Amino acid sequence: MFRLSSSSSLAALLLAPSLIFAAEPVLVSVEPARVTGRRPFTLTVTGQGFDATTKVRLSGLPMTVIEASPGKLTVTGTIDADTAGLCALTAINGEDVSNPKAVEITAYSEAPAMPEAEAFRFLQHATFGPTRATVDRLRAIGYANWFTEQFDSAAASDYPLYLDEKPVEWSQDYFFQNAASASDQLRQRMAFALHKLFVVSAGDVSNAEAYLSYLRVLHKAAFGNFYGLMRDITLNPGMGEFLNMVNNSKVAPDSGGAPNENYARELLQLFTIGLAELNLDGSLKRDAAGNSIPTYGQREVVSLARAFTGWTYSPRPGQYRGSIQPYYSGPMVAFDPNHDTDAKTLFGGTVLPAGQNAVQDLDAALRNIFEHPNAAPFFARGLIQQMVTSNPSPEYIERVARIFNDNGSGVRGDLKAVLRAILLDSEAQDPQLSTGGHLREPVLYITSLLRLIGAKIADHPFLSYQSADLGQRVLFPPSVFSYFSPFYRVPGTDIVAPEFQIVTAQSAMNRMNYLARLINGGYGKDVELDLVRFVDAAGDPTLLLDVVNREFFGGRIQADIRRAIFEAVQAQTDRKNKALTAIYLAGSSPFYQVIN
Amino acid sequence: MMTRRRFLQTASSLVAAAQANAQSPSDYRALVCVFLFGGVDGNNMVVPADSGAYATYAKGRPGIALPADKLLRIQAQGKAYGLHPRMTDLQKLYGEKRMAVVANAGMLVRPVTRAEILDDRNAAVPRNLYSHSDQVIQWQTSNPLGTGTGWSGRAIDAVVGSQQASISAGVSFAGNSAQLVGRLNQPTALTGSGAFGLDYIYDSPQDRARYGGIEKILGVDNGIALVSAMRGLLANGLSSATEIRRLFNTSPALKTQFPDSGLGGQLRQVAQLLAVRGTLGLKRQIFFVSQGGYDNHSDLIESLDNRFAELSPALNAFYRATEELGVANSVTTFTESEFGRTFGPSSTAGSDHAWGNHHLVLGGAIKGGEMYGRFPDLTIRGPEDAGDRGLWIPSTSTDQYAATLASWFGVSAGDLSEVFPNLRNFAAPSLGFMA
Repeated sequence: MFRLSSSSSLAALLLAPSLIFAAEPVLVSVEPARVTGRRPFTLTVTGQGFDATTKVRLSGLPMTVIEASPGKLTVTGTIDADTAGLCALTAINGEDVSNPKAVEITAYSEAPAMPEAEAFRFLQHATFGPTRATVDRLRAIGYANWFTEQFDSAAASDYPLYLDEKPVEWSQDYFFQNAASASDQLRQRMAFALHKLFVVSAGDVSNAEAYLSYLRVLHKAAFGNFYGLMRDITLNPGMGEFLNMVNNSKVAPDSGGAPNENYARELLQLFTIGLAELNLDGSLKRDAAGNSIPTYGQREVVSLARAFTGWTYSPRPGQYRGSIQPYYSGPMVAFDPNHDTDAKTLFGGTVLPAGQNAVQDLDAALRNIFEHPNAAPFFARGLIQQMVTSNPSPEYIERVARIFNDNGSGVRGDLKAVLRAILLDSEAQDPQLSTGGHLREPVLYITSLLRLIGAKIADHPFLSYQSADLGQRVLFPPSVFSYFSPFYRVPGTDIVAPEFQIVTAQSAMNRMNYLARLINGGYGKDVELDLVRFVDAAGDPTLLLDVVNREFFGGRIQADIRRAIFEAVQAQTDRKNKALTAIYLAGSSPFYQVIN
Repeated sequence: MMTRRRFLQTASSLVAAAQANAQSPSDYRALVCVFLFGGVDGNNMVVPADSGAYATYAKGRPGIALPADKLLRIQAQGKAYGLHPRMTDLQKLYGEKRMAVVANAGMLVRPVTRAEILDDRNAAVPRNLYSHSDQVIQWQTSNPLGTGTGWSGRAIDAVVGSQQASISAGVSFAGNSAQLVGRLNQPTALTGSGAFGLDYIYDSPQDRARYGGIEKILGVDNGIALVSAMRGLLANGLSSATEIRRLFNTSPALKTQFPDSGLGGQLRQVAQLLAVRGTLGLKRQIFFVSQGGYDNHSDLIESLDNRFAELSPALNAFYRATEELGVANSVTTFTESEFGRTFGPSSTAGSDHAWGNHHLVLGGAIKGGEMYGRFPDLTIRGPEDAGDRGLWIPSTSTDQYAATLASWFGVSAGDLSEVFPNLRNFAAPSLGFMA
């Protein structure tokens, strides 16, 4: 396309507005330089090369030009945001975009708004990644209303009952759809955390109906009670298949055989109380000799396995009871002829008397575990690690564990109260702790960048492949031990770093490549990108860095990181590559990859 | 498909360093650990085949016993045993004396008896027996507390020291594990196929500026420990990508065909790195690969059929590749697995978590065609049962097993006690299966 010299005021004066050869406009000033979000504003823009066809964008959004002369534009609009901060304003003739000018959008709020960095930080913990809109919403309504909104909203998204003969892999699409775009973000994030704490892998439970029933349990349990979570998970047929509780049967004594111990063992070790007795702050209890104290032994595992005998699939609606055809969309049901009715001694000396049926034994055994003093610190530590930090202080664990034990109204195991306690804790809000933060696991890294950029996903399967490429094939953890261990440490240090267990030299490179491919259009029609606000700002690298700083770092970029990105941006020859360079370097930097 | 003419490919100074060291060390030795995740059921891997002993076996495993006529016969310690029916390749290697069996090995604090375990809940047994995660770590660290560095990492520290080479002496093709973590040496962990690196960075001034930005960013410390850890991983990724790519690019094609399986692919990559060992300047390497799917609480028969049908040809192909490369006597391959499984079946035709287990060692430097250690008395509640379902108390410790391998690798007698602090609790520091 033929372009006129960019700064020719002569051309602007000589050429009639109706001519197809539009000049690249030049901005000189914008008044006022600061406007209020959510309120209509009028801007006076001076410069060169304007005509009746000139369009104006602010932060990538179209404004209304109400008056145009070659040297001056009058523009009106609103920005539906409190928190846009410094944004780029540009004028556009055809495909020619002017240099940007900065306009600051300030908060429209009666009360003092929550600092942007604080809202940004909170949403990194509570969602699959902050966006401009969600940061804005939280700042406008405050924490209390935000929690109410999230807790009370009926599940905006759920898993279907069936996939109509489609393979279990399709549940991954639902997962990513929810994570990337559902409005009930806290439920989605909590359900994902619970998936990692009460693992069922679609790699073993390959029946889609069974796996979906498990995922729906997690959605339902996210804002429920820990006891209900335990019971629903225990009787879920997906879990029943995964850890062999379904059709687990009593065995004649002295036969050498025994009830399957798989579920009993992992329920104790991984899901509820762990291997060693804990203080309320999560530290190990010690005996007189200074040794840790095992929570249970092989005898208790065998007893619990016996207590859990006698459960099978629910009859398919319309079928007579006792049919052996598996049915997955309802909880397992008792089949007492297979239940071991002898007495069992659980840990802590609790005895299940002889003669109890399967339901009685199950309820008593689960209650016994629920009431165990380890339950609170064990779950508190696990959930804090999933949501906020890999290395919570003992004091943080204890504060949350106390809420688990009593939500303030005498209720034990209230997960809403536990979530609130975790997310609003002073330690969660402190960005200065040298041991703070956690690595964005691949799923979070993928979704955070999609949400930040505002990418629209047309087709989801590529995200499942991508998560596998980064070492976390979502919903297919390699074993009941989940994707990574809560005890993994950075080699050669005492720093607990669970997510690092699945980062290798290779997957570290794959993470960077994912971002590069995403923003360079490597996913083709599967993704629609929204990078205009970055590209517009790229006419002024300082402004571009301001925008990147706010969107990637909540305004907390370090000076030397900013300088490094700035220099690389300066070396690029056009705005698009300047914008892509800044996004790539910011999003692949360890300062973004680790949430802190 | 995009041409990946990567800037990084030419950017590394490590390449020159490695080539300067290019020489073919004559006393090269490598260990290859094949970790069988989930706890492989050794009771069905090596089965007593003399009629009386087989009867005891079959009686103790109703529903999950292998039929006698399907067992692949081997002779060991003067008796008849049978390998699992899917291990035809391994039966052949055993016959060629390229494979040995180590019987009933497992984690121990010190030798311990059934009476001690039943009498005293605080008997000296490893912490958290029967727990996957703990026993994985204990095998890999050879430490009954499951803390500290990996035994292979310590062996590398003792033999290789702080010598710098273009890649780590410990390379995992199965992600991160404690096994290769040392004090002086940290492993390079890979996943999937061997060649990797940055896409979208090419050899233009603009991309050089981008790459320069990455390097500058990785040089910034903000005092947050996890951020520093990620800096280290990214920096290691950039440098090892360059070197691994070079190694794979220069590695000659192998004639040996590897099976198209996860384990086959990992072992093929080990073989490809062995082929270019001369350009590394390293005389000692330890590789880590893995196969999962052994936690068979149910459907043991079918699951083991599938697993061993992958394991046996992959191990065989790897051994044949070492012959092709002329390093069969310099490479020793061995199995690890977190625990054995109950001899008595579970109610769902599987077996549950147990303790002692049988293991396989392969290579040209071993005294193969024999069994080492003591095969357990398969009596439920007998002298070798830690409980009442046939949870075999190991008669050989992981320390002895690993120390035998580490001694051959080059860990001196003096260093052995440092690499295996627990070894002193056992009478014999070596099982004698290395020539």
